[in-house]
Amino acid sequence: MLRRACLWAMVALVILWTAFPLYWFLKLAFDVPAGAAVFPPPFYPTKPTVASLATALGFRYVDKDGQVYLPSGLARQVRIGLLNSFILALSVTLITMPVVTLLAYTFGRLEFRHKNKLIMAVLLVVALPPISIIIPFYMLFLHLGLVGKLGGLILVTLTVTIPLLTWMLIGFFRNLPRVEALARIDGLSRMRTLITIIIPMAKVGLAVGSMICFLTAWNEFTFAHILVTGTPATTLPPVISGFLFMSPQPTQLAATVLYSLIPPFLLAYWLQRYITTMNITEPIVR
Amino acid sequence: MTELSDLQFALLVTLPVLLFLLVIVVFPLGYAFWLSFHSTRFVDGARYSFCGFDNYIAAWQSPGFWNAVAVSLHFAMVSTVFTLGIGLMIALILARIGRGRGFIFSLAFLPWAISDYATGVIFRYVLGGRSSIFTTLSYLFGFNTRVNLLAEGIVIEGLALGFAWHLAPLVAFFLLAGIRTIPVRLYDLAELDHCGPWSKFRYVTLPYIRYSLFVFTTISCVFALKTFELVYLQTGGGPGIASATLTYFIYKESILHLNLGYGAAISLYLLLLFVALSLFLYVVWGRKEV
Amino acid sequence: MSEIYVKDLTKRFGKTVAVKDLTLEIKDQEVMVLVGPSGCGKTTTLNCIAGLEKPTAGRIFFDGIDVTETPSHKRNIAMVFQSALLYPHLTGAQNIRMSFKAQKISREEAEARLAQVVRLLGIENELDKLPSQMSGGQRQRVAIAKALARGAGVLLMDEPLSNLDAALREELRSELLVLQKQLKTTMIYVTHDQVEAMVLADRIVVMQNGTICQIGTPNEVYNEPLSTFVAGFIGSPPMNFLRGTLHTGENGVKFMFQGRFIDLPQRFRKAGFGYQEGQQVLLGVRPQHIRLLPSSAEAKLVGTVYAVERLGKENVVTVEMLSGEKLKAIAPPEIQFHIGDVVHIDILLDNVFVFDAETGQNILSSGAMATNRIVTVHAESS
Repeated sequence: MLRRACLWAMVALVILWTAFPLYWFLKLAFDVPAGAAVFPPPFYPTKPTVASLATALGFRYVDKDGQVYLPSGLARQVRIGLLNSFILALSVTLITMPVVTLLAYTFGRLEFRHKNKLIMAVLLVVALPPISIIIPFYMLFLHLGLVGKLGGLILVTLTVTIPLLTWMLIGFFRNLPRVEALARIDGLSRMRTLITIIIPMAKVGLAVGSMICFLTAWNEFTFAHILVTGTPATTLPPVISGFLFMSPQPTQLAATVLYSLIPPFLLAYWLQRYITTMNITEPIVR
Repeated sequence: MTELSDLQFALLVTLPVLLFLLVIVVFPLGYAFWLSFHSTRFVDGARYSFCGFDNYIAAWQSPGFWNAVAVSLHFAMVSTVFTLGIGLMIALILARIGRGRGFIFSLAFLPWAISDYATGVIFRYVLGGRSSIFTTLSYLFGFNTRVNLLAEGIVIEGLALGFAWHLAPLVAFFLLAGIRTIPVRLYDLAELDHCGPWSKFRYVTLPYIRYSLFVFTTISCVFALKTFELVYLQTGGGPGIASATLTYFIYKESILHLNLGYGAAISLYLLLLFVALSLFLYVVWGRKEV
Repeated sequence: MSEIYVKDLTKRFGKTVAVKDLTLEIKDQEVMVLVGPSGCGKTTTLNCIAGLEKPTAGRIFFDGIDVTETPSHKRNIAMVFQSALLYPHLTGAQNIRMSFKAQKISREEAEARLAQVVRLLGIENELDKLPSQMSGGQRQRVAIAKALARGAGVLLMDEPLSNLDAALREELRSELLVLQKQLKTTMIYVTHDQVEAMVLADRIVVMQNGTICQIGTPNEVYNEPLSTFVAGFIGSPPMNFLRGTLHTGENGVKFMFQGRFIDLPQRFRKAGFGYQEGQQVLLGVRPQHIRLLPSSAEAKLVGTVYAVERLGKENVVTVEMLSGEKLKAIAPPEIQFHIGDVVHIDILLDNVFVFDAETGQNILSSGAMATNRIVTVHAESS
């Protein structure tokens, strides 16, 4: 009996550790702007309201006491940011997944010379800090006129998602049942085998991969910050950074962060169920 | 329909990959390499003048650079310890849960799905003196002081907390998968051998998760060295330069001061650090696990 | 002395009752085998005796002392698990040493024990290997050595041989028996393999659904099964059951099957044998007690050959009768049977059993049902 109580105490601790930072910050999103100035910081929102949620998006909000809250000056950017982030994440995922499926399948299932070297090269790229490689791309994009354009950001984000997802999916593809021999006997070409047989078998891993890809692009900050801040192509992360540094409106900042957390909240359930099918701790090089 | 051999198919696939790698690896690295030997001025567009190893030597002599190296290594170590420790504890706790699994697991996993930069913003608020929970608690208990976990002397640990909060769930879930492969009867065997909880962990649990622990130690170190957004948003490299990691240093030099060549040289030093650390971990630990 | 007394043991997991009001007496130096299908509660019972599970109700006594609250490592027991369980990252020798690590014995004693079990099980070459480097049989020997190294008075075994191939299983089985006699330990052995049970046991406990169906020597369980379950579980190939009714005739009791009457032997006219006219019963007859004849004046039943399994030393012939029921019979290997052959079935009535169709009880022993009560051991007669 004591054991059970101990266990639930530990579980409560885990929940507290995970949820409390989120709560502590996001409570601002449900407060009035004045609430952020209160010192010492309160446990609860001083005046629970959805005012900040609304004004962050550019709506004028009138609460039941007749108090008016004006839309935030950055609201337009927030809306653009939300849209662009979504476009970015979607495009990146749609491009990355087919490429990565092909790559991970090849590296994971086929044997050929120099395979290990190629895999190591891909791994190396995963370790590169974006900040190091952004300069060359920035210069290149300056020449190409791609600075401040969403297309440019999409391209650069691909350089992060493709290696990352390849790395994650290699172990997964390796562990699928070896049905190539069956397909060979049935006369299917390698490409057809991949498309009609392997991919349906790999549904779960590919779905998880797509979610991770979407989230990675959605959460991408460094490239966005350098390439599209303040332009019509801005995505959400630079806008949030703007809120933080340029016009300190903590409640609206919190509201915007809350909006940026919607895809992660939605996808967390599916990810936790299936992430271990990705087998990323498999020894990659044998 | 001609059947392609494994090699031919691989080439068909990898040729685009090679091309791609050329673009995203060779190009930036090569360009950065080239840049590092030049100093840049922005007058009428970009002007480059060759300066040999000047940038590299300047870095070597710059206290700012060495500070950044120390900060990065310090941060990597503390982050890894926090991440692995917390990840392991979460895994051990989650392993015992039967009911309510779906909800608790989803909640525990959430921090990983949240972005680096959002974590930075959140923890800036949770740990920074003006707004931290600890300040609230201190006033509640009558101490009436601001408690700032992002103050000099403890800022790296404060950053590491945010880093661990963010990465630990991934570690936890993979360790959990490993723990689930342990035969339950093995704990009975240990029970008969009069093993206490620590012995049971050491002889039964640990052997099954050691390799994963190694992999995630390496992953954690690499991610910690690579991290930029967390630092930029949580502390801005401060107070002063107390939390200016190498990546932040590169940002400052390249983007803010527009010393592109200098920044490029430091990038290459950073790359060296990656390789050195990974090799070190492999030699010291990874080799034994095979 | 290592006697074990289990009293009214009940174990519940949530809503499921794994073991219900089980009472069992195990004598000193006895080999008792718990046998039954998966889920019958035998492993749970063993776990409770070992102290690895806490009973929901009931007490456990070792040599008269209540050990229900005592932790496993303080009970005088050793245990061998299925699939040769060993610490995967310790060598054979290290695994064995773990057994007495906590017992605080002198170094000489430790070395002596190690040497003894190594000699008994013949595992000198496995001492420095990791379990992954050993074969299945070697692992199991090391696991047994590890258990014996504890010097305990009671040896508990949970299906230790089920993961091994047939030849190895037989070899280790005989070795286990020899060891047990040598070391004079009490042994409680759990298995789902009834052949293993019959070979090893001094007494067998047949379990089903968390309760005891019958306790007895292998002989008793084989020749005097108390229920259709026990009768059908023990013996291979399994006993055949023919459904019919009992009637009174001039010569005594008659069994009516498919319109035909079979006179049952004299022993079915004993005093105390009660039945109702027309009672639905199952006639139990083992395959070795059925003779198949091409034609015979005595045979009452007819059927066609449905399948033949040639085992070399004998053939097992499945016969399909007019009613659709199938019988298995054992025939000498010389006789050729072909599928579709018409055969006459001769049942050796001296060896048949009659069970009540509803309750499954052996009609001749309705006064001595062993469920949930201790059955007094008959004197062993060979």
